[in-house]
Amino acid sequence: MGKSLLKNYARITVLLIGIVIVLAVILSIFILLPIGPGLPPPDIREYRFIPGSPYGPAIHDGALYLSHVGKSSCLLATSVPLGECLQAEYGVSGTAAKLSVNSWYFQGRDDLLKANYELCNYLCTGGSTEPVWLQMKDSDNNEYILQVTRYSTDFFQGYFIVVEHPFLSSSDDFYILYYGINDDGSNQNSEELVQNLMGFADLNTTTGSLGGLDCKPY
Amino acid sequence: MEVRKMKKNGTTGALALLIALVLLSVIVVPGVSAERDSIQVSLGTAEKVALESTQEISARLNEFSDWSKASVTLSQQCYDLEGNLTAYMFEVYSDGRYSGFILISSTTDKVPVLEFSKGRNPYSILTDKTDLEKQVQTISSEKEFTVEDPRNIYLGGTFYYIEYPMTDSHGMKQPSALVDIVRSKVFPSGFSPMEVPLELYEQHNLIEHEYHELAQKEWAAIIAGEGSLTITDPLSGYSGYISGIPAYYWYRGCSPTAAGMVLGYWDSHGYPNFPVGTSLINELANAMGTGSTWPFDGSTWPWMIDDGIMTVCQNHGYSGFSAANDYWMEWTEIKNAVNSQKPFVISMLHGGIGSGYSQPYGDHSVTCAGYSEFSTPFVNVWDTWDIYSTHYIAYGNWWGSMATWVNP
Repeated sequence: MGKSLLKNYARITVLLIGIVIVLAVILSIFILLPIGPGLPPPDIREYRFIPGSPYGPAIHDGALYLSHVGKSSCLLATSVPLGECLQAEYGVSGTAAKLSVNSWYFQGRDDLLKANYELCNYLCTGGSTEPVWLQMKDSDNNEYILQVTRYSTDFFQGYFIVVEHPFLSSSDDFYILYYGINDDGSNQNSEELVQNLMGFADLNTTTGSLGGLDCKPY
Repeated sequence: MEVRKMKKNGTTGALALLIALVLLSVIVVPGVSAERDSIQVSLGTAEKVALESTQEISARLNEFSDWSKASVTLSQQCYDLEGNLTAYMFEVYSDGRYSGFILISSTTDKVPVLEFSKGRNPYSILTDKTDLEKQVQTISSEKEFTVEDPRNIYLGGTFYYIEYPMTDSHGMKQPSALVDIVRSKVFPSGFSPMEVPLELYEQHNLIEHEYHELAQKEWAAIIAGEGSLTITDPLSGYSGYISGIPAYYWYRGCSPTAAGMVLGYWDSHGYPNFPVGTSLINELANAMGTGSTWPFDGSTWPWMIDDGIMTVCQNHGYSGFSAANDYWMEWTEIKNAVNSQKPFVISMLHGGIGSGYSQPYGDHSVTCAGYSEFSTPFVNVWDTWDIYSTHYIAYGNWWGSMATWVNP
């Protein structure tokens, strides 16, 4: 009788110890390990600055609409030697305006610098570039100043923006973005349309650096 | 009372239907298409069902309201591994813009609408994954096979594949290579993807009979011209959803972003003093002590999540709010919170793959917006990665999980 009771006590004790250990392990997991950062995977991050795209910021403008987005060789005019990029095309209801976004996404700074260099070389032969500062508004109507590179030819104009480390300083994400319009002279407010589109990209919510192309002579 | 209200709500019913359709479609094994009184559905009928279903869905679900005047275009025909037609993929266009897709069964033994979403047509995702196609080319080169025209394979649920038939140098047919679109994998020649979802199918065997009956009933009504979809909503008691949660894109860290969505919800539900968007997330990140330098860049200590939420609530005059971490999150608690229309944060360790993705969540915080309890329990989350659609993850598909309940 006594032995049986002892055995039962021993079993209960072992069971209790087991439960305590399991609970301790569960609790310690949450004490020892931080949550996050939980960044989206790269194939989602590459859409970050393309308004209205599957993983991009929303467009809060009834007239502006995304008509196409996909991987493309991203021909600006005749050719651009930067390889593949995500290209998006937009329309504006009631107008013939055609806007576009090109987003080159890199996960290495060397790739970014190389692309920047090649792009500068190309742009200086096909049109004119100049650094400009834009007074922007994001989708929450917050105002901010943005330094970009304006590019214009006879047929289209737009802005180039280089974004570095937009998510985390420890995550190597680099973008060269182009927001532009096919300009045949029929749009009186081309710049306004492009800047409106850029506003939806929420560029000011990045935590890294923003700026224009670095087209200094090498 | 709230539960009763939800059941009356058409949105909830349609959501339940959506969940049911998606989950039920998981059980549809390839062999089913040619079995059990199955009748092949013509493209014309499927197109009619697709179009009428978009109207039905737009009337039931607020987030699909732009589908009310949508048009549909056949995008792909989908097959099983034996070459039987299984489904028609239609892309939905609203005002000329791509607005999602709807997948219609090609046989009457499956429910008419297999899946619909505002996201990308799964077969179009492959265009972004050129590395997968290169892998197929490598496989064929190694064996000196020739790759024939690819074929779209749909095996139910999220089992979308592209099959690359192969022939040898004598023109003889060889086993195909398969690309799993959702999971970004290439299965070499001769592999059967049935090995992967078999466990899931077995879980659902018990309901297969009911599913088959429901499918037959719906198709019979369509063929008889008595309507498109019979939204019978047999599963309303098994799901719940919280509408009105603002979807925030990842910013500074997943935990403050997920918590921001919870407080953003309360901001529009009687507590309007909170800031919104990145301002709110910034404040939460600061209050939670979310790291901004390596190695804790963007990471948050779990025990700080509830404290951070409380601090922000107090900062804006809401001292009555309570936020509490729960290191032992139970399924019934999830259901109760959702049925009470109280969104909360789920923080998971080594989280699995959410629906529509190819990469796992890992250590990640999300905002819980709903649940479904049809055989396998799923939570429905705004995950900070996608601001247009919620995603599902099976309950328990993680190493550990913690809920942060927030009550006003």
